[in-house]
Amino acid sequence: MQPIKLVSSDGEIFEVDRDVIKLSTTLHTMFQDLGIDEASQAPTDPIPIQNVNGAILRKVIQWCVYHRADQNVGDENDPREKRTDDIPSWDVEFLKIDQGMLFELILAANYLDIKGLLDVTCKTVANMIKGKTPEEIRRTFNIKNDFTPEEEEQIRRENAWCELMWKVLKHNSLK
Amino acid sequence: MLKPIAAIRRKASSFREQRQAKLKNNPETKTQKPKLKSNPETKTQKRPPSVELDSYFSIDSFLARIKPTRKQQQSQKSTQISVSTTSTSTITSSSTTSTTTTYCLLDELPEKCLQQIFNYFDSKDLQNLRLSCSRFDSIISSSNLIQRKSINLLQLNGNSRDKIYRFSHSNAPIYDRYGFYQSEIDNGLKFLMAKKIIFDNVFIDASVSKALLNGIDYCLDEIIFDFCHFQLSILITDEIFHHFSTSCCLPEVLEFIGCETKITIKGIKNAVTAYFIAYISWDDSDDE
Repeated sequence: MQPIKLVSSDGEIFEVDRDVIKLSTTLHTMFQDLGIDEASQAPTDPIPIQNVNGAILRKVIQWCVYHRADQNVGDENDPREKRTDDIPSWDVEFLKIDQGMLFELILAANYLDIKGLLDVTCKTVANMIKGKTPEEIRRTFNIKNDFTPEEEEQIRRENAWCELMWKVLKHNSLK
Repeated sequence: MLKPIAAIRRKASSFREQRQAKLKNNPETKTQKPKLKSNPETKTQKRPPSVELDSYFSIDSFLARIKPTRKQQQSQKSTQISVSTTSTSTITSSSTTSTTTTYCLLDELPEKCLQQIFNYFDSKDLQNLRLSCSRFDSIISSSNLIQRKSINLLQLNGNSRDKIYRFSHSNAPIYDRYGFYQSEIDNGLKFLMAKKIIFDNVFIDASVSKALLNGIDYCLDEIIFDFCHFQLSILITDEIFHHFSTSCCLPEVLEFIGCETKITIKGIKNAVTAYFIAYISWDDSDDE
């Protein structure tokens, strides 16, 4: 089984095994559409991955190589699964990177449609937000507060309604 | 060998002697002795530096030496291209500082990715996110991320000030009741899935009807209008009745208890319309 060559946006070439490539639904589907299966000859020309630079593609391939044998245990039946404390320890170490690279990994995982990588990167960002106040969130991600005082007040009122509903429901459940 | 303290004394005395000798030789210098109490006008003036400051230690130089981030590098490139003929260090540094304050990495993520991230949050975190910036607010508001909570009974009581509604469970103690403005009623109802709604002494107008529009999603079993006043100026049209007859969301019970004694067929129709208002243009009705 010949490895497949991928070339990043900045011209760096990577040789990747096919079972690693399979984790990317985008590339896997593309090969199927082109009639390139495991038995057939691998394309000689490297496949351009135009939206991903070399540094990020290296990280993506590193993650895919480690997780190549993972079984698909997706939460298709429970799309509202909210746990974020179940990131494997290897992934936690792998994702100890700066914010810029983390967001580029999310973009690459989204572009290449690598569900597992997208899940862990999104969970990592979610963990950076959970439990923070609006001001802390803005500080963490350098977000500009673009609300007018009136708009902000309107959202606060809506949030107050939401809070009220929870309180009433809690009260009812205690009865 | 002298003891240290004695040596210091001796040095100090020799310094005084030298100074007095100097004063004798040049008496004008005595008058130039600086006063302890300075003039308030001169106090505010900046003292000129005795030594010429090295420009390397200036704030501008410091800012220029800070390692630029990825985005800053991009903006630097663009700035350098645009001012290639007259590029100076000050132009470049000012452009980099302006981008530092506005650049947000999360802005690069598409809405789909942000929604996936937001999926991991409970309502409290979503509320905080909504307050962070308008983009997050619009994504969360337009999605079903904030799940509706199921409730058996929702009672809305109008009070004497007629614009404020009290919301509570019918048996809730007085301290657990809250007042809200009528215009906000639809903001609250969209978070609920109620099986039964009781309107008690409420003016049923356009804003209440808007709230009931959301009620279609509640799959209401029962609506009770108790001593209510209908103030709707919507005309019943065939289209609405068609919607009324074909909809599967019709509540099983629609009661009017002690409402305006002169409640007419039109009033009942209006109440029903309030429930099936999806095809009404509310802007027009508000203008009327």
